[in-house]
Amino acid sequence: MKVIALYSIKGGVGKTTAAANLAYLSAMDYHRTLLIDLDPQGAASYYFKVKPHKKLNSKKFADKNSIDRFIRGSDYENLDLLPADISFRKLDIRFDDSNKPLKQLKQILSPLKSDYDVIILDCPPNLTLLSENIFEASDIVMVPTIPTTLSVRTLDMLKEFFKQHDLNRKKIKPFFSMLESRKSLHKHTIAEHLSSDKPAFFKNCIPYNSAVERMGINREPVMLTSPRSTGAYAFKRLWEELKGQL
Amino acid sequence: MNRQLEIEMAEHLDWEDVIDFLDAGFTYRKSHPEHDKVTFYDTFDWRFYKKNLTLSRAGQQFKLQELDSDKVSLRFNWLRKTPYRFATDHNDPVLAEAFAKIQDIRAVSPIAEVAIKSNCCEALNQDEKIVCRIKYEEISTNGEEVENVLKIIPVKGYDDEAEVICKSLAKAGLNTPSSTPALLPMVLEHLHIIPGTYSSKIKTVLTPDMTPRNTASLLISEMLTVIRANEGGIIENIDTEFLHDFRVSVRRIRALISQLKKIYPEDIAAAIKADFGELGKMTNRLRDCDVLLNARKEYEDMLPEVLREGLKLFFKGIVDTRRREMNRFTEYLQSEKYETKISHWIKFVEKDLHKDKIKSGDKTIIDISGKVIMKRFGKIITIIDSIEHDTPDEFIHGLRIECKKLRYSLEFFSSLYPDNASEPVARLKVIQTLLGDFNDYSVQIAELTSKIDRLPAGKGTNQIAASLGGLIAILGKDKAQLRESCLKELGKFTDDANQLYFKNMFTPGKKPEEQ
Repeated sequence: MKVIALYSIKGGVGKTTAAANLAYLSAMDYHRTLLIDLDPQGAASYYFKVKPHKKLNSKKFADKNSIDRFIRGSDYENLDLLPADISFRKLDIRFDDSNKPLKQLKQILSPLKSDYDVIILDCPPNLTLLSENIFEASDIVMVPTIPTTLSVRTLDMLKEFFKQHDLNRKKIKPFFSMLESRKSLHKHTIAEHLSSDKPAFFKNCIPYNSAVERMGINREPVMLTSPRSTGAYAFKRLWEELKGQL
Repeated sequence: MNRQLEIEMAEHLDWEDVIDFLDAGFTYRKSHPEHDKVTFYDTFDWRFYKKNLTLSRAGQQFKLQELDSDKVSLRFNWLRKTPYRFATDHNDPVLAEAFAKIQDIRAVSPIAEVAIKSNCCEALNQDEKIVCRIKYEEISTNGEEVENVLKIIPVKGYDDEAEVICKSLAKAGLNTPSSTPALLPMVLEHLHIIPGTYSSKIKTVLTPDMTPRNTASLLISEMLTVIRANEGGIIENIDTEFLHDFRVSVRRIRALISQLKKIYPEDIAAAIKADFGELGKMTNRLRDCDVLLNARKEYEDMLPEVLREGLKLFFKGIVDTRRREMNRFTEYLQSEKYETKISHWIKFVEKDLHKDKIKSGDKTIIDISGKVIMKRFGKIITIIDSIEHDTPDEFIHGLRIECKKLRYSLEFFSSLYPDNASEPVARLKVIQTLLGDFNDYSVQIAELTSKIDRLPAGKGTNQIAASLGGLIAILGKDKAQLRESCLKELGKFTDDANQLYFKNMFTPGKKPEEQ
């Protein structure tokens, strides 16, 4: 079982669309996939039209023995979802109350090993105890990064955080997101970071694409609603690249 | 209700009726019927079926399931152009190990194929999320209908919704039966295939009052059936076990003729021995190649990386030799000469089966079988007693041959004794495995040594010699350990307690019920 987090300190960088589309592509590739929506806003759950179970809350989520009953099937084969509940905003407090506050998420996911090949975490923005749990539990931390100075700066902040907390920096795998190729700043930032001496970035970028934007209306992966769009092609290429690293 | 439910479908109803019965609280989305082909696979000796498993393929996806369950225990995608056959075909070591436990070195082949026409309807909740699927499958094989199945497939986490749909169908008289038959057995029945019938083991049940000649003809008839059953697999080169089982039956026939002396006229006994001896000899080289090739992975693991290149070249030569031997033998198997010989012996034993009538004072099989077994057991004791620490390996090989003869005797006649003489048979099996391994090592060392001697001068020769030399050294060490284990087990097998057991069980003249 591989755990992949879609994470960024910044909001609005394309985490949820990436999590939803990559989870769908993983499932279509016959991997038993679980998408966990950790963001209390529940956007990933909304994309897949899944509402949480009435009894799901942060306390129940933190109980590794009961997590399975809150998982719901998506409309697609091999893809299940653990939808977010608004109470997930209290996960930090829950984890902080425990014996091993940094390992809680890892423990919650461990019983799912035999059921899933890939788990994708859609993470809330910010840098909290929950984020540290995500870093511990994940094999790969994918960081969508808009090719701007500010976004790259937050990526550097994340790397610094990993360094200070003695976390494995190799887990951090950024990719450029919401790329607008007509913007010279975007072009320059990409050229600078995708040069051969900085191999940490995924080679494939996700463009700003109206088809991806419309996911909120269509509530389906972009590969289904606009299979020929540049967004759909970009996610497919990114998935192929990610698959090679699993 | 995490698992799918099958609903008993009334004969007068069709798919459109089912749709009408569904609960009005959901919206339903019908999709176009889908046509799928599902192929079931198994080994020739039904290793999956016998373990209550099915291996099936739909498109590129293989699924391993319990026979009577829809729960998939393993799945994998097969994207290669060559078909999936062996456990070793898997690149994933977890899958390779899991499948090796089931199929060992046997290949899987298609055993049955079904066409499934699926009419599907999705139940959507108010968010337009699919909460349940209702599927009506029309299953056919060879163009004939096998079964029509109505399935309620709940989406994980939406059990309550599926429950509501089931209730709406129940109101219309469509209920869930207490048990649903598994698909594969139904398909096989339809195709008149009886699963699990093949076995290379002797199944003939003897009765003590049979004449020795009838017994021999009955057993030979069974062994000829096994020979016949394996011809196709050898010709098609499916896996190495076809030749192995073929050869075991050939050897058993010869052993039986040797053990039950003077039951057939001398010329017939000599002809049987000659014909089946020839078949054995003809396949010796081919079997040696199979043994080496089956040990290929083990050899590679034994050697350090630096010596593996030479091994590759060596095995290339073995593959070539095997191909030549295989061509030669399959050509013979398809020849008129072979067909005439086998048909002749099949007709001979068929005619002979009921010819021999018992006369008063004649010996029956129970009078002879015990003698044969005790004679074999006695020979083993004599050899064991003479073995010292420095006795050459040749004696161990002699012992292996004697154990094999005893095992054959026990296999032929075990049905005449209480509990099918299962205890000595089981104990001998353990010893024979050790002796067989010891022999395989000896054969492999001899083969590798002679290969070094025969290596032609040229490119790669030194590399091959270095690899084989390394292997011989490792195999030699393992062989010495095996020798100790063999002798230890044989010591136990011939101890006083077991000698007494044999005496009580097989002493000639005693009737089984007295034993």
